[in-house]
Amino acid sequence: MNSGERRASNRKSREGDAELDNALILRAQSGDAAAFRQLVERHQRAAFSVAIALVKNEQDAREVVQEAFIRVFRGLAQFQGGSSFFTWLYRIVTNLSIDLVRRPTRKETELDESMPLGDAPEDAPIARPTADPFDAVARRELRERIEAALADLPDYHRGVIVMREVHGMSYEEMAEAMGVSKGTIMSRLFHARRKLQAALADYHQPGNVSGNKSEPGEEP
Amino acid sequence: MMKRSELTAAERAACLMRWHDGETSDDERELVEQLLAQDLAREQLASFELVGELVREADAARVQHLDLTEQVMARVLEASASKGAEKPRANNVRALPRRALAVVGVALALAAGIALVVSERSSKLVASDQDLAAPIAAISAPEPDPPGESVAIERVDFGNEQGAIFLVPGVDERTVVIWTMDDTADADEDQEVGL
Repeated sequence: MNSGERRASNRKSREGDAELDNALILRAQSGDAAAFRQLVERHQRAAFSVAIALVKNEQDAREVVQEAFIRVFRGLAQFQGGSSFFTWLYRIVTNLSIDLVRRPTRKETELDESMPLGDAPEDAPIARPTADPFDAVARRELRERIEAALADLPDYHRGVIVMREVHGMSYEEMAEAMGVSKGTIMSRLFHARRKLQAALADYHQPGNVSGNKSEPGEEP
Repeated sequence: MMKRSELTAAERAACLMRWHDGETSDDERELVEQLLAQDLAREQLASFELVGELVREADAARVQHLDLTEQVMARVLEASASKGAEKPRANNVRALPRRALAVVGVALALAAGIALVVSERSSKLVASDQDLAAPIAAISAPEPDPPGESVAIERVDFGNEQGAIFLVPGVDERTVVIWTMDDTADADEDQEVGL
């Protein structure tokens, strides 16, 4: 599935999800605990993946998710359904995670959003493992590299990457969830991707596209 | 519209990123199509794809066994229970003045009744009979408050029990304190109510 097909499929599936969420919320608002339970079951993993991307600690992320659902439960009566449930939930998760990482006892990599796009490293396309006998091993190696690179990213960068790549959120939705402008989201996403690409840049495999290849006719 | 040759490497990458994310504006579409004619741009796009796939794989491996449902529901139940427990507390706070008022009302009615009985008896009894009389209750008539003095004390004899009613004037209200002598440990609890 290419990125265009995946985007379309994400959108369709999210529209269906939103309808089901709204039905569950209506039931939960009238005191149906089973409906609320279903909401938890449906969204806990997504909430956790955003939380752990931001707080980088599994126990903290679990705590954030639980607290987020408690807040959802307390705020159910006020939820009008105007914004989608998952955007609302992600916003709560993001705020709780940000509060947690901003505590003076925690240390986190500083943000470098001030870095203009022009200062980003040059294009460094990465090789893509092909379907050969070593593919599984190569894939695992790449995944380990990505995990290490993700761990080194500033929390906000990890957050946007996960929201975008895992949950298929639009720039607008991410901006709403993180309480920042679309431009900031784009900048964070751009820098996050460049760092992740850089982590894979020296990955070469015979027969694959070289990472430092220049395009004919393209200025170096 | 910007031309392909006018773009820096970073701008080109940002443009391709928006394309990859489905966020390309109509103005940019033509530019992207031009860019995608280049191998480098296609490689760039492919690397976005690969990074996305790896991030999804890493995330799936991390969350596949996660299940916080029971913990969340337990905390939700706890939260709703504490919410429910708060209500009676609030009711108690509201009920307290009503209960105290009822006690003071009964005490005042009793005191008024006693005063009536005593005044009737005193009008009938001769002075010599006063020592022999076993008063059900005797109230020493309160002195009018002297200027500057703020507390009026009415002594009350409730048969076997001794007690007093303190009338403490405030700025806008009077506070009645009913105090009775009792042998029990908690008997010296005063009841104080603002009127």
